[in-house]
Amino acid sequence: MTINKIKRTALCLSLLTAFSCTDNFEEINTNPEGATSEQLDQDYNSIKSLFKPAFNHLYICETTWQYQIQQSLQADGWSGYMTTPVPFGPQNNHDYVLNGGWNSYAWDDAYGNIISYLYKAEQRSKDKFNQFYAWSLILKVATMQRITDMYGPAVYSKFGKGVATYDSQKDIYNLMFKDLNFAVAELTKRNAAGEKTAFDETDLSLYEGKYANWTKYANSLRLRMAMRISKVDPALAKTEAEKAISHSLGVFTNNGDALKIKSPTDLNVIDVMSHSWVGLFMGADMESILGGYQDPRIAKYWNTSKITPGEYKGVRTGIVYPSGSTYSKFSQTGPRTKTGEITWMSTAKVYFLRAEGALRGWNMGGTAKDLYEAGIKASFEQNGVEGAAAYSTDNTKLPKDYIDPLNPANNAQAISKITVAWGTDKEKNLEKIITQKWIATYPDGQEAWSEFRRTGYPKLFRISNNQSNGIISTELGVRRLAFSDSEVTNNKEGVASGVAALGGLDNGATRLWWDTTAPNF
Amino acid sequence: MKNANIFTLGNFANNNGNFQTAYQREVQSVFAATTFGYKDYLFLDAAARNDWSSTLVNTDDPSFFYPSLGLTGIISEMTAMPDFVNFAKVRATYAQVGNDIAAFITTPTSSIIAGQPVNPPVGPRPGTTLKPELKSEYEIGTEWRMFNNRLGFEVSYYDSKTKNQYMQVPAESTNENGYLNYAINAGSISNKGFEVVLFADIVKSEKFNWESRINYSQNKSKVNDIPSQNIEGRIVLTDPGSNNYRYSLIEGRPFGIIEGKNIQKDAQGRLLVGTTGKLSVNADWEEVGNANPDFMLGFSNTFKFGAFTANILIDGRFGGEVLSLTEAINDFNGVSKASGDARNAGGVKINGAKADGTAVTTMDAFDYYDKTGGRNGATGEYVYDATNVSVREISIGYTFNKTKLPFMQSASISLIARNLFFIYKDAPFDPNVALSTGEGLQGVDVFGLPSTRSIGLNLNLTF
Repeated sequence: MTINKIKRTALCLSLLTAFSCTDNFEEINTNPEGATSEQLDQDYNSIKSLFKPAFNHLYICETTWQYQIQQSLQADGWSGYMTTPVPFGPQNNHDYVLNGGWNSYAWDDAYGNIISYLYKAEQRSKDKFNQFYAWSLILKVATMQRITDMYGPAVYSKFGKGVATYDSQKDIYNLMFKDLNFAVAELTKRNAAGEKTAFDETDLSLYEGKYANWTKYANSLRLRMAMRISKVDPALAKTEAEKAISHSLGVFTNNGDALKIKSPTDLNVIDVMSHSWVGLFMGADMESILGGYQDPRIAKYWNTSKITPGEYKGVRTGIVYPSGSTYSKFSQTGPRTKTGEITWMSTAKVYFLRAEGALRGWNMGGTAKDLYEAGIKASFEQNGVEGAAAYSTDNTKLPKDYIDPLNPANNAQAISKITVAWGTDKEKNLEKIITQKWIATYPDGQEAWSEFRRTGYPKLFRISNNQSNGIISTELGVRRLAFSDSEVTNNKEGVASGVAALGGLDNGATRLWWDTTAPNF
Repeated sequence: MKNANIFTLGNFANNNGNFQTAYQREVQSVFAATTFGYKDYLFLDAAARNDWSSTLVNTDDPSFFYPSLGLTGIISEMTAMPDFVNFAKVRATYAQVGNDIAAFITTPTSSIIAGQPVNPPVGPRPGTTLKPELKSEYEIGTEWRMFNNRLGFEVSYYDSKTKNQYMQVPAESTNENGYLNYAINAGSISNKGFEVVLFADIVKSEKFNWESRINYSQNKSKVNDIPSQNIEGRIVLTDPGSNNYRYSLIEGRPFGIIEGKNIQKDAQGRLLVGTTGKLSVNADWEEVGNANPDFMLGFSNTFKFGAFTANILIDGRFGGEVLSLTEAINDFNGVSKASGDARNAGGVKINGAKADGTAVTTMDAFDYYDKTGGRNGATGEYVYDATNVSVREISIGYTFNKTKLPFMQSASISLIARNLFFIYKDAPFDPNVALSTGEGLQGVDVFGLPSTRSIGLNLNLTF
C-alpha cells in the first residue's frame, strides 16, 4: 500500500497533473481514530448510541464539578435543600449576584450533550424506527422542561433549522405536550402488540427498556408539566393532567414505577461535594421543617453534625460566610445520596401532583386527602422508613426555629407554620402538599425551586446578604437564569428573539410565563 | 468492542476513557524558483508554488497558488561609495504564503470515548466553506557595513496582511452538530512593523575586543472583518467560564485584547459605595488591556580578553498589559501582602462615594477585597503594565590554549546564567511567560509556575 502511494505520488509529479491525485484526500482527511456514521450504522449503533448521553447529563452524574455548576449552585441552594457555604467572590448565586459562568452550564450541557444527540436520533429514526423516535421525544421533553423552567424561552422548534431562534415558554409547553402525544401513542401501540423492546441494551435506567414503563414515565411527566401551568392556563392544565391519569397505562402508582438511573461510574456527585470536598451542607430550611416534624427521613438525607453532636444542623443560604471552612462542621449529606442511583422522578412526587390536581377539582382518580397521604406513604417507603400513618395525621408538630451556633445574627423563627395532617383550608392544604412534595423530591432542587416559584411553598428562609443592588428582591428570590453566555456571544439573533419572547430583562428577576403573580386558586 | 468492527482504543469494552488521537495530511506541491543576476550587484528572485492539501477536501478548492518576487541591489558594487562604506545593500520583496488548515476539520467525525460515540468537537460553521490562509507581505530593507565592518546596521519594514485567517472559535451551544467550536476563516489580520539591528565593534585589538549589538522590533497588528455572527464585532478566544478574564479578537483592535470587569464608579470616577457599604462590579465586559508590546529591545555585549570571553544580554519589552488572577484570588482569600497591609492599616484607602455623594475614603479590607478580588471580581484592578527589562543572560568563558592541550583539539569552559533578574518590572509575575502556546490565554497569570533562573557550567572538549 505504501509502495502504491509512492508510485501514485511519483506519477502525479511526473505528469504535473495533481488534480487526478487528490481523490483520496477525503480518506486522508478522515480521522482514523474516529467513527463515521456509516461505521456506526451496524446494529443500529448510530441510533442507539445517541441516547446514552441523555442519561449521564440530564442530572450530570459522572463529573462532580459539572453537576455543581449545572444545578447545585443554583436550584439546589435556592430550593432550601442544601448550600455551599463558601465565599465564592463577588458573583455568587446565593447572594443573588448571578454568576453567568456557572449559570450558562445547564443550558450548554443540555444542548451540547443531550439535544444535539437526540436531534440526530430523530433524523435517523423518524418514520423508520419510530420506537426510537418516540423515546427520543420523551428524553427531549424531560430535558427541555428543565431548561425552560430555568431560562424561560429556549430553542425548541428551530433547533437544527438554521439560525437557532427561541420559542416562548408557552409555545415550548404546547410543543412538549404534542411531542408526548406522539411518543405515548407510539409506545402504547407497540406495548399493546406485545412487541419486544428495542431499548434494552442502551437504556441506562432501571426500566430495562420496557415500553410500558417509559409510557408511564411520559404520562407522569405530562402531569408534572400540566401542574406547572395550572395557574397560567388552568383549562389546558386540567385537560393534560386528566389525559395523563386516564391513559390506559396511567402514571406511577408504586415505587417500582419510579424512573431511576445508575451513574456509570457509581458516583454520587452530591456526596462528593459534601464529603470529599467538604463543601455542601444541609440547608437551614431542611433542619427547620424535617426537624420540627421529627421526620424520620432526616436520618436518610443528612448526617448529624459535628458542631452540635448527635443533632442535625443546617446552614442558611445567602448569609455572609467568613471563610470556606467556617461551616464545615455542620450536617453533611446522608445515606440517601451515598449510592450512584439517581431518581429522575419518584412515585411520591406523582401522588402529590395528583393531590394538587384533585384539590383543583380535576379528575385525578382519588380525593386530595387520600392522594396526599399516599404520597407521604410512598416517600417513606422509598426511603425505607416507618411510621407514615402516624406522621401524616400529626396535627401538632410545627417546623422549628433555626439557631446558628456560630453567629446569632443568623437565627430565625420558623416561617412555615403548618402541620402535616390534612386540614380544611384549601390554601393551607396546598401548602401542605407542596411542603411534603418538597421533602419527598429531595435532592432534586430544580423541581423544588420551580414549585416554590409557582406556589410560594414551602415557605423558605430568605437570604440576608442580598448583593444584587435591588435587581432581585429578597422576598421573591431568583425567578430564572439569564441566557447562556455562549449564546449571548455567539447567537445574538437567537438571544434577541429569546428576550422578546421573555417580555422582560434578561436577568434573574424576570418571571417566567407560568410564574404568574396570580393567587394559587 | 462496544460497537462492532471499529478498531479504535476508545471502543474497547473494558477501557474507561482512554483514546488515541491522530493527525495526518498530504500536501502535493509544484514549485519553481529562479534567480537572475546582473553584473553581480542586481538580483531578481522569483518563485511560484501551488499546493493541493488533503485538509481542504470538501471545500470549494483544495488547490492554492502563491508566488514571490524579490529584488536585491548591492549599492556598494553599483556605484562608487565613500571609502568608509564596506557594504551597502537594499532589497524589496513581495511574497505570498499560502497555508492549509488543520486536519480533519472538513470531514468531522464522531470519536468513541469509553465506548460512547461523542460529537466531533469542531467543524465548519453550517453554510460556510473553508479557504486556505493567504498571507501577502511586502518588505523593504537595507543593510550597511562601514569602517572595516566595525559598524553596521540593518533596517527593515514590513507590511503583511493575512486573509482568511484560520481559527477555531466557540460555537453557540444550540448548534445542531453539538460542536464546541467552529472552524472559520476569521477575516483578516494585518501586521506592520520595523526591525532594526545595530552592531559595532567598539574596541578591536589584539588583547581586548568589545562587540555590542542592539535589536529593536515593533509590530502593530489589526484585526478586521470579524464575521457578522459574532456579537459586538468580537471573537472570544478564551472562554471566560467562571473567571472575569477573557481574551478576544476585536474588530479594528490589535490581535488579542484582554477583557475584564471593572468596579462601578460614579460620574466623577469615584468608586460607588452601595447602601450595604460595599462596592459593585459592572456586569459588562470591558477592554482592560492589550497583551501586545509596543516594542522590544535587546542589548547584547560581548567582551574578549585574551582567552576569556564574557557576554551580557539585556532584554526589554515595552508596553502592553497583563492581568493577574493569582493576585486577585490571593487578595480575595486575604493571603496576599496587599490584603495583609490593608488589614494592618485599618482598611483600604479608596477614592469612593456613596450614591448621595458623601465621600468614602477608607473601606474595611474584607469588604473591599470581597468585591474586587477573586477570579470573578473586578479584574480590571489587577491589570499591570507588562513593561519589563531583564538581564536575560550573562556568560563567562575561557578557552584553553590549544598547543598546551594533551589529546584534545580544543577545550573551553563557560559559566552561563540565564534569567538573572529584572531591572524593571511592574507586574507581580514574569510577564514574558505565557500560559498557553496557542492563540488564547495570553496576558494572564493564574497560578502559573514562576520563571526559573538557571546557572550552568559548560565544558566543551573536542578530540
